[in-house]
Amino acid sequence: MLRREGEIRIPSGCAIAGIINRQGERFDGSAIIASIANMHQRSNGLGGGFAAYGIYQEYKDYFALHIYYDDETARQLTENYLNQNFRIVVNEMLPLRPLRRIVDAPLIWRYFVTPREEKLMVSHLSEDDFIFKAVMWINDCVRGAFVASSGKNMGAFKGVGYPEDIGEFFRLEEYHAYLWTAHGRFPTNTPGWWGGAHPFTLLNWSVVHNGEISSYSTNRRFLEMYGYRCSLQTDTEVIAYTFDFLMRKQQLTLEETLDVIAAPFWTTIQKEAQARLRRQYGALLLNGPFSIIVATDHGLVAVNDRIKLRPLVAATRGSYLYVASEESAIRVVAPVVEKVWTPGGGEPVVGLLKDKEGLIAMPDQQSRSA
Amino acid sequence: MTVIDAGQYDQAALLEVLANVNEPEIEVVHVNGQRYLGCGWKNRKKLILRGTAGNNLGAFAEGPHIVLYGNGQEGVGNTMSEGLIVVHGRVGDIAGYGMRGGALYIRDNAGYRLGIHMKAYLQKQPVIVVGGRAGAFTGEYMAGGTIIILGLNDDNRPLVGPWCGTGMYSGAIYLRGEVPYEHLAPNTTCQVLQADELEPIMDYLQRYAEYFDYDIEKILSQPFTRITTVNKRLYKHMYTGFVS
Repeated sequence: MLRREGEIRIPSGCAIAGIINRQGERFDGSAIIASIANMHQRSNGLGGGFAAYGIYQEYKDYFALHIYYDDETARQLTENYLNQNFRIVVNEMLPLRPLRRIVDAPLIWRYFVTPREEKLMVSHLSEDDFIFKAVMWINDCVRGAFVASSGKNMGAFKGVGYPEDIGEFFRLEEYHAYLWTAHGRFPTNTPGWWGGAHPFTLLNWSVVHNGEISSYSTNRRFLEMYGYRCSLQTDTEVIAYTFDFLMRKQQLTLEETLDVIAAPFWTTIQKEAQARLRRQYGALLLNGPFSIIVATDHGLVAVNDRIKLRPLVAATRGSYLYVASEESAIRVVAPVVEKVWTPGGGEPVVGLLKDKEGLIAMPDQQSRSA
Repeated sequence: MTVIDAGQYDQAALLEVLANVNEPEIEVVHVNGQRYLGCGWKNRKKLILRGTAGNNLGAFAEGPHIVLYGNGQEGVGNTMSEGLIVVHGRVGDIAGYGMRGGALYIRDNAGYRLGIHMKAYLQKQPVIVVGGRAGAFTGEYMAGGTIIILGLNDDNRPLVGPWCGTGMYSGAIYLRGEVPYEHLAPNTTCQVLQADELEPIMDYLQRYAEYFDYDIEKILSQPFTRITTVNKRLYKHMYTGFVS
């Protein structure tokens, strides 16, 4: 007999985890897999994924594209486009480990590319914007193809399954990164498909997210005016594009960006600068319950919505900073830590590489907190 | 006493093993994120846990004595109605959510939404004592019982976050030391207690000192402020159609 709505209860709620070695020392993917696997019950097998920074030392000057295809036609269309616009130095299938628990995987290809000089010159775009346009074009215009990651010396590995299985499927123990983030998914409002798994990425940005962005349509309409195409059917996509827009294109600081996405309430706003940002970029306020980890090649920031409707814990041990939805996910890889704490709503946890600290002023810890 | 290694079982198996131990005292070691420990227990057993307990520790409990050596996560003592939970560490959000009886002692800080929807009836008088501080929305929609925040960790942050006591209409919140008045909901009222007015919570304070081996004189060295509510029917205008 068919089970009816309400007869089955799955008490899940997404899981996020991140580990950075602030000295830039690289470590393999087994720790982040163990961390996210500890929160197995927060996912339901409909999505898992990882972002890893520092994994492609040999090709660190090239953009690493991870592209997922439904079929060979989509691949040919995409590769024709890539060939016209990019010099492709490596073109290969991503090494995978077939697992019985991972089914219906798309064709997953990896390319190391650099824009063709003549194309770049006539486009009047920066390298980053050239890649940005290519990613948007593939995601929007090639049926059955989407770009899972497009940064330098980093990659996203994601799909439908429990995160620990996805990690095994992508052989993450063979990669070495100084920064890993991970996600276990429990899709609620949108389909559980390979493109909808986290992290969501663009250039070097990646985002893993627990919660929902109620302001998705508002955010999306604003971003679309600047050429962003939201084609992956999940709210989290707008977070990645918001960070790219505010920090790369508008050159806002991390502090200012946080004042936009987790702006204080009008009743509690203290600084005129915060109020100005809220007026200017009000359409990029991320409303709704969330805890997110945003990463770039410089480091990571983890932050909650203003009234903290999702869990988040952070801990430090030596050069390592850990963040996760649950403390147990940190303790499983670092039983003894120096400091463990739960940040308040809107209060960022920032972990930057030691030599990049000067690039981003440390945000004020409490001005957004409720 | 039976000692169980949590690392030897998966989540469901651990709960089943625990439910079938027929002894008054059980110790579980290497706890790390396992949920629902002591959840729904209707007995007087003592459950000693070592490690980081997972979500909903002691939820719906009716009677057990749970001692956690380590930190709790979300939902500690969620809707518990009888028994005692003592946490030698800190806890996450919504501790004591909808609590309707029993006692919850937390040595360090508590997260957001501590004791929201807490209630009391006749001899069922729930109490939460927090040694550190608590986050925003402490005692939101509180309808009975006692919350005590001691602020013993002295980290220069407010004892409670904003919107403390929002929608509260009964029960009492006691704050030791400096009161963050700007964080209290408008329907609340404060009274600084004289030494002889501490009687209703004296037993709770002494228990805190005893459980965590803390000096009671130190606890009593700062004034206490009691927060109660002014208006019993806050939202009557929203469902009666007119204000009487």
